[in-house]
Amino acid sequence: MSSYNVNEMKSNSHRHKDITRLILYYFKKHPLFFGCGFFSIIASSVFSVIIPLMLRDAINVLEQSGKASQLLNYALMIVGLAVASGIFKFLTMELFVVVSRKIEYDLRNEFFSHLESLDQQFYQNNPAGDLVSRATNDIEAIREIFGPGLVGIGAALFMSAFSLILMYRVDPVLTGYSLLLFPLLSLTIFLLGKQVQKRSHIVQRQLGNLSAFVRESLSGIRVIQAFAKENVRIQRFDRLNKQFIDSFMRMARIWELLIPTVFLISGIVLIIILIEGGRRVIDGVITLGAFVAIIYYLRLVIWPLAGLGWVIGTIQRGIASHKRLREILSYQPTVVSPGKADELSGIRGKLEFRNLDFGFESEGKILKDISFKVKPGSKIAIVGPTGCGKSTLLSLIPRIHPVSFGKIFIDNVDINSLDLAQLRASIAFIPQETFLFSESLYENIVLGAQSDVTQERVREIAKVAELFDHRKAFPDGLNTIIGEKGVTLSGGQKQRVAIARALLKDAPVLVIDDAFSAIDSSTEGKILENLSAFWKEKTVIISSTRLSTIKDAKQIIVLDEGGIVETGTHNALMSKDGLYAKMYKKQLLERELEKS
Amino acid sequence: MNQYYHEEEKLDKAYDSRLMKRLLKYLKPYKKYVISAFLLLAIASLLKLAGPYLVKIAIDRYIMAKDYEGLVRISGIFFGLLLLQFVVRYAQTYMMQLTGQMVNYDLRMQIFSHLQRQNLSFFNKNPVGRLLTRVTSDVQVLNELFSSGVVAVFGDFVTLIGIVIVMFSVDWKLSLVTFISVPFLVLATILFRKRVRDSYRKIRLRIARVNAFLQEHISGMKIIQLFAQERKVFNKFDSINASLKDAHIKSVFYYAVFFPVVELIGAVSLALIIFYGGSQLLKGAVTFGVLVAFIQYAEMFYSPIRDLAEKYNILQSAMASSERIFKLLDREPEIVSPKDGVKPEKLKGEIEFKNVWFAYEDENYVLKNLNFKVNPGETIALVGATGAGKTSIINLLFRFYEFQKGNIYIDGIDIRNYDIQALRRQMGLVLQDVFIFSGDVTDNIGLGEEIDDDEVISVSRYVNAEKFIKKMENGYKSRLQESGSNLSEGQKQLLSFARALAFKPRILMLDEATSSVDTETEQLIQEAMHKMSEGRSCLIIAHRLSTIRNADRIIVMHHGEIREEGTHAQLLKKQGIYYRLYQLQYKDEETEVAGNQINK
Repeated sequence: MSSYNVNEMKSNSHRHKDITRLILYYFKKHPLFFGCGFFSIIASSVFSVIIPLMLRDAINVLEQSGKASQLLNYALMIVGLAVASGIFKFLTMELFVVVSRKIEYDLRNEFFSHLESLDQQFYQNNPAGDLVSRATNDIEAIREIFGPGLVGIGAALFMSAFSLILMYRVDPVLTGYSLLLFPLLSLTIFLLGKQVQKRSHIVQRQLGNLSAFVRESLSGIRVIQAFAKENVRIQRFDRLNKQFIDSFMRMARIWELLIPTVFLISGIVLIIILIEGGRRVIDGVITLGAFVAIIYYLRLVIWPLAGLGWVIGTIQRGIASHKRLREILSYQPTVVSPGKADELSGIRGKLEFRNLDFGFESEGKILKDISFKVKPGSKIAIVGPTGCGKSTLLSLIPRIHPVSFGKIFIDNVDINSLDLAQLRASIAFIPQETFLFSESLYENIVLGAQSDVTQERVREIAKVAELFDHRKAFPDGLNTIIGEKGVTLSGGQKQRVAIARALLKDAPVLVIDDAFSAIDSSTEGKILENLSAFWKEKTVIISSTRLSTIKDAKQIIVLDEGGIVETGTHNALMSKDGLYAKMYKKQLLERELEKS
Repeated sequence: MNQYYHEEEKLDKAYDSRLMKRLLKYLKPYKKYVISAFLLLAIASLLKLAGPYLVKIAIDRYIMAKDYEGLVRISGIFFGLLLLQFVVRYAQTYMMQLTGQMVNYDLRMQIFSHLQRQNLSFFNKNPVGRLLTRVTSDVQVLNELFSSGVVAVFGDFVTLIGIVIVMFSVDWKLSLVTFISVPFLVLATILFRKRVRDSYRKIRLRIARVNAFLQEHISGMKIIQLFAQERKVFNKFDSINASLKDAHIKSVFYYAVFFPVVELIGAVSLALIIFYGGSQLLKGAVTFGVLVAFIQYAEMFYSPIRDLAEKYNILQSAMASSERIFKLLDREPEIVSPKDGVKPEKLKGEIEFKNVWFAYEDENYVLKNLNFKVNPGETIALVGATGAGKTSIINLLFRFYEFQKGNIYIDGIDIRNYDIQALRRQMGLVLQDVFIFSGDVTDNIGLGEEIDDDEVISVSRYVNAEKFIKKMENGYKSRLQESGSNLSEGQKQLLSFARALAFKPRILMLDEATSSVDTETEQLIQEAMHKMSEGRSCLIIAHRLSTIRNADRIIVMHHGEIREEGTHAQLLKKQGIYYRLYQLQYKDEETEVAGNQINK
């Protein structure tokens, strides 16, 4: 499945509107599983509820002093019924668990593919840990509705219905007394459930306070330790901790009543049956066998009903989790391909920024009225102090963030009206912060490839990026496995992998976002030299904190606080003695310090 | 694909006696509760056995004898026992919950205190979210072990033994026949346990893979999108996700077979009771009551086995959680106070670095053979580019990190000989990013410690914070929002000044904020900084020209070394690095300030 097309997105939001719709959607999707599943529940219930009848008949035989061979018949019937019921119980479990796991798998795929369509602003607001928890814990909780939840409801429903029908046939009067169970049990579950729910809200709130306090105490640990306030924090935690267990115990006091009460109620009903049933046996209205069978039926009815309390909890948890999942699924991707995308045949790499403004919600503008043009095949540099907006500007070209005020054109076509995949295919981007996956070095580099590449080509590129000048870092060459997020590598090595990855992409536009910052200047020089042959025909936009890197660019654009303040070549800017000149001199001084 | 592996999700043993022993230690303080809970449980389990026996008597003595009054009488006894059972059962579960919560409380306290003692380097490596899980969910999982899992198994055990004893004492021959199927039950359970354990491991491993994959690819989503790899990555995820599904589906088979098999074995027992017991009854060797009682006991005998799987799961997750908790608890902080460490009453405030070398990791030294001295009451401005090592100096003085070589002396005593907390109480710290705790203004100044309101007001007034605090709705009792979003940057700075001075530190360390604030607040801040440095030693990572000029001495750092040292005037005269830095960086500020003054 995939969720890249817009139509499917719409149906997604429809089916996730509420849990009933979701359940119906999956019923329709797996009719055979659910059909056979419910049939199995019915069948196993039917076979189970016949067993007490055999019991009745066997005891009747005994009462009438029948033959032992008749008993054997009933004994064999009981085993036979148990086998039949067992087979359907097996099927019930298999069918429901299998289908619920399939649904879980589907939901998780849907979730992940949705995540793939969301832009970076979403990821800034939603930490990865939280998303992972939704993809695992919450989806598991939803699955429980489809697995144990439906089975529990089905079993309670059919077992009690069938039992009652047969009980009625055994003895209507005693069945009438047994019916007392339903109001008593449901009243108990309802009343206790309401209290538990109320009190567990408080527990959740206390737990929330506790968690928030721990989070704060850990995030602010530097301040706490600097002021030697650990003990103060511990004392306050102690208070919250006590409050939490108090609230928990207040809930447990009610919650723990549930099972003893179920025992009590079923015991009371049993006693009524014992007295009334006994009297009816004494009066000769019913047989002893019928009396025993009714007692047996009581057991069959009680547990599925008592289990309903648990099933309701499962369903409530599932609904809450579905809400959490929906929060994410209802995020509309802000960066999408237009319905009717313009197709360009062979992008040459002409770029134009026209009156571009950009800012995140709630924060101020990061970019203000940016306009400039880049000819195909030319090299342009963007510089400015930290926070001037150069990274944001570059990230708009491949639409990492949505472009909504002002326009960016590539080969005279608005990038918003271009097919997203084509746009991104035409840009090789080397980001400031490299992200490496825990795969082999080779796999990390070929991530960039648009089509199949040869090992030779990868090696060649690795040479351009000076990847192997320190052999030590990659003991197995291209096959070296890179640890989680590249922890085994230095910043410079990671950046070089990122450079190689982008170069392999071989796109007409190359965007370099301060990607040499962790590479020492002599290696940087070498890479730049290697690159000069490589990028001859390409449009290159490069930003750098280190001004020596971009000194030779044909055009340098200087940004400050989101706006263009100066443009020109290095020499022109130096003679202007503005921001660029000041930054350059400062760096010169720092370099001198380094040498001295 | 072994590399998708989480530190958190190592394969866990289903049962580890070493872990269990350690866990049980937490029950020790609540021995009384535990023992009484177990006693109550035993009583409840035995009371449960009374039911079928009473039914037996009712049938044999009264129903068969057509004695209705007797039937009512025995039902009365039954009712009494039922009420007793209700009370005992409730008391028992309540007591066990209470014990579980007490243990939870102790564990949480222990983990939290332990975390508060850890060094900063620990927090750099362990994300807050993960540590939070230890304090909350992992502890919660253990609660289930105490409040239901272990105890319930004991109750089941008592019930089983009780059933066997009662049945044998009623009719040993019929009992033997009934229990013929028990070996099959044992066999089925053993087979099931082994299979389930194996598949549980497989599932854990695959869950870990899904987790790790998600964690990694969500963090790297930007790269995936930039290189238009969505489809390829999705396919990879699909296969990992599918392998988890398959493991689940495979494991359900064992459950789906086991439970019906247990029920079947129970049905066989029932059939045997009817056939053999019935034949005996026909011979007059057994009464109806015995037969009915046996039918009910057999049912009771098999039902606990149905909960087995659930209890097994509780045990397994409890083992995994306790392993993670103990691993955390076993990690001792590297920097601890020495025994009988020096607890200074009032420091003079003399600081000396002697040949200090320091690296955060390995051999990447950020301080290289550092030597300098701060005299009591002196104000030193630290100047230099990012990464010059200024913050590291503060980190070492606060004993946040351990240095590798050399010595640091405070008032002539080696810093390692001080009691860390006592030393820190003599120092004040102002960081660039002010951390605001949830609570009111007073809480944030005193950081939760008891402090006189007058004291808070006077210190706030001293650092020019009083004006804005008073303007807030509830003054000093105004609640501050998380991360202080209802304060401006400048207000946060002033608040942190008050916090730093609240306990009258002898040494003040200050990392000046770089964010720009309005002119008026800037004036307040500069004035406050000037006042704060009076009467105590001060180390300031300086970004403002005014701060630097007011300092007694300026230390110019570069790459972990001191390059120049002296007063503003001396250094300007020298026409060295500082002079050039000044030309580039601070001169504009000077003209700006001058301009502002003229405008006024």
